Amino acid sequence: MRLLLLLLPALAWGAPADDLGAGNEAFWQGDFAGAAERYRRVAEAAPHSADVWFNLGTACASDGRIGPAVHAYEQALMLRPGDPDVIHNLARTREAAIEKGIEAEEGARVILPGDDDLGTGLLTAAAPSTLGVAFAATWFLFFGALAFWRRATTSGRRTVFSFAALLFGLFALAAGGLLAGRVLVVDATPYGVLIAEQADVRAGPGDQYKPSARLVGGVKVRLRGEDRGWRQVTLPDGAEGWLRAEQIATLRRP
Amino acid sequence: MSRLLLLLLPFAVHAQSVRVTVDRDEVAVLDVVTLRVDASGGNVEAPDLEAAGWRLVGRNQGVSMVNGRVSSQLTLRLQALRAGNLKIDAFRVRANGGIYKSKPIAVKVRDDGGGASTAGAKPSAAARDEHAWVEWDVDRPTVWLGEEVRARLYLFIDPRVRLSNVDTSDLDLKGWWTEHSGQRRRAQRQVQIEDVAYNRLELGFYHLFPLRAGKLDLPAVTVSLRQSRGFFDDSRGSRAKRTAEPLTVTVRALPTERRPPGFAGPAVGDITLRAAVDRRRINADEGVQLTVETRIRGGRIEATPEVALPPIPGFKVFPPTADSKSEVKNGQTRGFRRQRWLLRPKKGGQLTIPALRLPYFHPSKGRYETARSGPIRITVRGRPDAVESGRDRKKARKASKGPALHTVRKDVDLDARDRPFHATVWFWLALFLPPLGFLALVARDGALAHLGATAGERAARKAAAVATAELGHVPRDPETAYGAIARALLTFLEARFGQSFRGLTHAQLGCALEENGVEASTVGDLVAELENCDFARFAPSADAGAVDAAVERASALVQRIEASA
Repeated sequence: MRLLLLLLPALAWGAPADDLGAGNEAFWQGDFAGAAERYRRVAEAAPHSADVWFNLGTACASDGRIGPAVHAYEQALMLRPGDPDVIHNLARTREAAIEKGIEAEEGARVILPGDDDLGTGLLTAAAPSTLGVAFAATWFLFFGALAFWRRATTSGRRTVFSFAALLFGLFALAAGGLLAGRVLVVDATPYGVLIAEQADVRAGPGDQYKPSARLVGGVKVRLRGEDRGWRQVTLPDGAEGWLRAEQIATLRRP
Repeated sequence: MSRLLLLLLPFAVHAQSVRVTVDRDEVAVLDVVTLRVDASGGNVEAPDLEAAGWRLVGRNQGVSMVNGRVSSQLTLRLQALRAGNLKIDAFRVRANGGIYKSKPIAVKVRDDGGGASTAGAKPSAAARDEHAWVEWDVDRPTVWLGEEVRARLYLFIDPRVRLSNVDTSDLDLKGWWTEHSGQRRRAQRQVQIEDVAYNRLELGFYHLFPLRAGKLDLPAVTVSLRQSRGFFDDSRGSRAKRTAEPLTVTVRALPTERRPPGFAGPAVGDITLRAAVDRRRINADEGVQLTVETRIRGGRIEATPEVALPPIPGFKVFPPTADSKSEVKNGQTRGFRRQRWLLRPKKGGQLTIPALRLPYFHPSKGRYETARSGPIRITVRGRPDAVESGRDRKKARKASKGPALHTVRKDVDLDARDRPFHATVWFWLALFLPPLGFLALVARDGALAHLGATAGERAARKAAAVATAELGHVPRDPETAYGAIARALLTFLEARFGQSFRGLTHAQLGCALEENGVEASTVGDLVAELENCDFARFAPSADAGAVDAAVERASALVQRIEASA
């Protein structure tokens, strides 16, 4: 019994690894739906792995399911911003979604997936790690310049070091501000991705409300509130609306 | 010809000039342009317009006199008879023994299906009605097997006839493959036929591909319509039927000589081939997706065979997927096919996907050609045989329905957690260490300033304490006590000010102390105390209380000097 208890964690750990291998196997055999299902199980067990989300997104995209693919790629980017493979596949998938959206356009206001920064463009322009390194470097240089300024014996050197300190201080302030905005505003904002192929955005929480726009699968929205199975969302163009909750997958930071 | 060879316009004028303008510089075949000649100063001679491809369909002339000068305006309406850059040569004015020329004008005439070049352009007299008739028009009467033929069904009507309820009977295009050209608005334009203006209504536009060689007919088509005369004819008009004569197109079989091996289909049209891979550097356990795009213009993609992938050394090739579509764009049929293969490397190193080829027949050039793609080099890292593990025994059951993607990752560390830099301990060290280091530096400087930065200053600060201690240990023996007090004071002064005062007179000592910032009254008291010590040493008394008083005064002086210096 004691041995079994000791082995339990190992057995539990074996499942996601097996699913991962089976998912890869299925993917290479062209069974993308099966691969996606297995990757999904692995992602639930190890939601912190950007690689697993990437594989899940690739399997879904290969299976033609744009919305779940974009959701998985967004999850991967949340965990590993700047991953070139994820960025490439996400761009290709969005292009496919746009093609679908254009085909489906029937006079309604159609919102296609784009950068979907929802007004956070400056804060998301650089990766958090880039901002962190930039802040740390300029912060260190700022205090270094201050220390040299205190030790400078000639007025010329004091002028040079005071300017350097001012410059590095401003850079540190900018990088730190962007980093703080990214962490405190963007990362703290709940987002979701439309996983349905298409969905009508309604003016209120119910089918009785008139559709105001049509979303194409893969569009990223900001989540505002919830009411009886409907989610209030902010669309990429800033408009507000309601979508069925089951049509949206939330982006979660594990 | 006769009336245009020489168009002589007699003008009685004084000055000489001729200027020619046209209302448009680009028209279609059978369109009419308006040419205006402003002339003064003599007789105007027109060039041979018929030889240049124009037909005169209207003419207007006016004469004006301003300030005694006579000028004439001539307006000619010219119909373009053939496509190309039709030139209108110079008009000439002869006057006063000289010749004045206008500038020649070129008008671009395009052939956009106006129908001047085909047998169907001019219907036979039997088929033509005074007010309305129907006829076929094709862009070329002789084509190759599989080549695109653009056929239009036109209704010509008298402009004074009002038309409604136009219905076309069903077409039986036997022997033709018809490409749907989508919904088109019925285009209408005015044309001139033998000096008579007609409205020409396009009833249908067909993109046809002959399926067999020989004589192929565009069938007779009956059009029913309702016509009424004039705008003020408010009757419902009369019902009428018009039938277009069949139009025969000659279809030539594709030549057998110089037919390249592998030609099939028949692939007829203008074909291009493009091959690309999603990645050029892969790991041994990864795959690469090869995409081949075939584009055809003026032909059918359905009739074009798929590109066959030859055996590629070093790669295992999985069955391809293909999707295709065709469309009519800018009046031409275009097709597109995309084939995708998944390739798995069987060995490492530099591998090459060879150039692909697709033979086809180019109808405009009338010869066989071959579309080619370039070879593609792939770098494979590692040894695939170490990671194959029998996976390739199974065949792909289904292929990608999505876009070209970077493939999934095999080596995934489920334990790995990606933390952004700001979530690591290094970030927090970088955040706190610089300010803490700077504060430590400031604190160190402050402490040094407080304690004294040099050994001399530290000795000066300690001097008062040493002197006070020495004075506290002065013996009570009057013979030695005053000497000890004087030494303690001098030792204190030297330590405090960092210079030797030995060998100086009391007056010199006083000056030196004042230069070091000691107050004059303190200096006076010090000098008096030293003199008192000298006097007591050489005239000692047995009064122990006097010694104590001297020690107390010396201690007070030390404190005053310490405070004032």
